[in-house]
Amino acid sequence: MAPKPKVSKEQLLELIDRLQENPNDKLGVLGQVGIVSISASGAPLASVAAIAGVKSAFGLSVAAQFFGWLPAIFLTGPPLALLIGCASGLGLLAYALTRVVRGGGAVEGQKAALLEKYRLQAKDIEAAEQSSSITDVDRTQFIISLRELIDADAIPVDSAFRMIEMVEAGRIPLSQAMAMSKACMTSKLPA
Amino acid sequence: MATKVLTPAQANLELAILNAESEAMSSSDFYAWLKDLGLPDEVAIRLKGVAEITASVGKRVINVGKLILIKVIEFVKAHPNMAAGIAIGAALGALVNTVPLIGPLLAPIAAMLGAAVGALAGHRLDKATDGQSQNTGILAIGQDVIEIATAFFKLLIDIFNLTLNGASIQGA
Repeated sequence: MAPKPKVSKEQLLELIDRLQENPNDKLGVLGQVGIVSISASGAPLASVAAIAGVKSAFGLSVAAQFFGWLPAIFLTGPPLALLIGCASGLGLLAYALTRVVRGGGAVEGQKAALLEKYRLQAKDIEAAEQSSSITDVDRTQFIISLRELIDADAIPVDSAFRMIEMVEAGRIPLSQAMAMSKACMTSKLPA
Repeated sequence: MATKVLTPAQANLELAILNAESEAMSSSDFYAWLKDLGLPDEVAIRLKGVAEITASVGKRVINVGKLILIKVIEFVKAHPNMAAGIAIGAALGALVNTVPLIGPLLAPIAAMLGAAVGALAGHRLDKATDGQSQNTGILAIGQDVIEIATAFFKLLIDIFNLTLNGASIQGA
């Protein structure tokens, strides 16, 4: 039996939108739906503060490498270029990737290149995890990156919500969550 | 009762989430839960042993036994008018019949709980699916119970069958 979702799709998307608008209030936004961040138990909160100014914040975090994606995204054509105006950071990358992979808006080579870059980013995050340099900014960016996957029904709402809970609680490594999210973008129902 | 069809990647994600959630539970928590259900000590101890079943999938170790026990306890709580022993027997019987990789490990425990009736009912359901004739009688009750359990466990069964191919199982 499928579990009853703790939140509806609309509620989860709204929550992510609010988090994107108010990254400084991450504890408040996530706390309203019962998600407790490990940052609440002592990790530096200062890193959260800068997400609104994505570029400067990324200069301080592992997520800085995500900007390496921008040229690849621009190559995919005008629709994706338009998307860039309304997304940022890892969220932008996942948004573009979701549209490209699921929307059929790019040739196979471009899809493969984007997926490979996503895989490499997950490896970088894994390396950062091993050196304990994952920041709250990285986790927040990951949550924001799930928006389009949820909207496109690539990840079930309940699974996405519970994955956010587990990532915030530190029970699922960020790199593993990224790898599984990427797999959800591309997987198809079994024959 | 909602059902959904999962892609392999979604099943893998769900398995990772369930596994992370189960890590918060200790063996003694399970024992206390099982005792709260009114089960005798010897049954509770044998069932607690299920919590030690793990599956190695790639680099990950999945607490398969804990996942099963959590769902079994949810099943028992969702059917308060069904005797706990029958509900657990039906639940394990459903898993023995539908998850080939784990079935052999659960079968002795299920048999100890009197799930032989459940296993026979599962066999009858298989026969019905194949269009073969079935007997009628007391087993029809067991058949109903195992149908209820199979429906309840469908998501977990799908997840196991989609993700545990090629996994190595240890425990119990």
